[in-house]
Amino acid sequence: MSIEDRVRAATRARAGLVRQVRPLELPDELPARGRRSRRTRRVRPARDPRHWLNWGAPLAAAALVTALALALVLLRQAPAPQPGPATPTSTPPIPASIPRYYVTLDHMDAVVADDRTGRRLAVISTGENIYNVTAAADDRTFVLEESPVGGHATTWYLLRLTPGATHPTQLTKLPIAPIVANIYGLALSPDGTKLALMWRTASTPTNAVAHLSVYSVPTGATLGTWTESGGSGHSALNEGVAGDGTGLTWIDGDTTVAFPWAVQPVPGYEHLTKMFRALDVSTAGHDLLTDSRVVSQVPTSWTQTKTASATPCGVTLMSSDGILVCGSSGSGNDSFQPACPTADPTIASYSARGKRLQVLYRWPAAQCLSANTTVMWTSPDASTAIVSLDLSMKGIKVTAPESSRFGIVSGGHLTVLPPLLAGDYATIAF
Amino acid sequence: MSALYQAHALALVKLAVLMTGDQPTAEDVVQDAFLGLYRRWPGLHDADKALGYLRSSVLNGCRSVHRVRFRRQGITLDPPEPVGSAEAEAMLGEAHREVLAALRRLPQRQREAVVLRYYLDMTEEQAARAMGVARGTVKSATSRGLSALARMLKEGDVR
Repeated sequence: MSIEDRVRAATRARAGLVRQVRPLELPDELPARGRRSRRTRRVRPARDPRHWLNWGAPLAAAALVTALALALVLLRQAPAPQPGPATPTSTPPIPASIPRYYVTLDHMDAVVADDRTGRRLAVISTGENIYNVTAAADDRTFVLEESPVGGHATTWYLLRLTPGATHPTQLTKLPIAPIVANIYGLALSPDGTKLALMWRTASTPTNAVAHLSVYSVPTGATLGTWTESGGSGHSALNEGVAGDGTGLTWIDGDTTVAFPWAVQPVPGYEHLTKMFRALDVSTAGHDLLTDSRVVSQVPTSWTQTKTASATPCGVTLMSSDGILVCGSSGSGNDSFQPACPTADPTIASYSARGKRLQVLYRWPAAQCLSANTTVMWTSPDASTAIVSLDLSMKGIKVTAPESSRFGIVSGGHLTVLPPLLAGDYATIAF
Repeated sequence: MSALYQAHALALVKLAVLMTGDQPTAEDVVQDAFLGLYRRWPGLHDADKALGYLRSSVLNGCRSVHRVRFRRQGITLDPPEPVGSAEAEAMLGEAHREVLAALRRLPQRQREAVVLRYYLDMTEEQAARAMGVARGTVKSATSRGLSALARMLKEGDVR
């Protein structure tokens, strides 16, 4: 039986086990256009009013009595007023050099939020699928990538923030010609004037060719395109390294782009050699590999024990000074083997040769079946990073407060930030 | 909207189960997709267009779930066993379980391409529209996905 037939048979057998789904729950009314909220409250469909009267009145009375009793108890026990996590007085003393605003994705929309307060500034919708996001260094300028549901061409929008204004966001479609390709990396230059994209074309399954293009944000003009000569096939491997574009970084100001690259000395994904290459995009050129140079080796060593395996660089990010910051990842070798002692959840910086320079934070985790750290932003000197730390247990993310952290790490300390309002830690820009 | 749900919800949940691995999450994703359609309904009266929107929205939702759960850049780790999947898959044969386990280990885009092409029997063009990518991307993702599956199944490197 061919592999295609095995896939058909297995997927259909699994799908066949799904025989019923729960009823659809929709809000009562359509919200006004332009005032959509992703956190629309779900309510049950309206029922016969007579049905409501049967149970609604006693329930309301009971709820009123309960609320009254609870309020009295709380009033008696309440300590002096404490500032809530979203109040300005609870904002931790975080240096202004650490970005305050971030954009993350919530289904097809983008959400702009304040990491100090956890408050949402805006929800951005283009009417199509917003797929990725990147940020400049000013904490106010972002570029959103739109990959339409029904179309092939990808387009980009410039998002500018003016916190505190009546309309805190301004969205402008960039004049960059739409691209029909697999775009797997994007990075806005620190000054917000240039957009770097990594994309790939293929006419057969084995002739994928990687391209790196740089565009002028104000004019949309192509400032340069560098192409992988010869179609080595190595680029196909890079999807796993830079699939969401977080690996593409501007370094040394606004002239050089660092991109992750992987080569496969021997067949098999486990033997990839991963590195970051740097390309000076201020000079003319066209060959992605000849014109670039290796600036950092990604540590790919694995710690393998009888019960768990781990790597120091599950997620990598290069700082604008060209220093690699890694988050470690690890998991048990089967469903119920502890991983934490092996995984050693750590955020650390590494030299160009892959030597550990500094531990930004080591999570004192005790029990877990898998541990993952994600680096989302790093300071130029790689001494500070915004990260997430997650433990899982029995295949489910642990719900205990100490099992998941989103915050700023530096010098071995963690400053916890309010949880993300939407989206996830994989596609986010600071 | 109700008729649309009656007609397509089950199929969409099945698709989402294959992408996420468990039915409660799949149902949440499908509910969210219909909620999104509900909000956009004034501009989406064409049933075919609505189905296309729903399918893409479900894939998008599954992608978000995947990002949270299985985000592992550049390394291969076993994803956590999805809630409820063990009981359901216990009803399947060992061969099917191996294929599904291998499928779960594929990168998201490859998994989408393989499921759309061989579970839904979509053409490359149809899969490209559903995924919001170019046809060539579907072709390469499918090819790489099948190669990876074949290697994993041959090596018995699935759990």
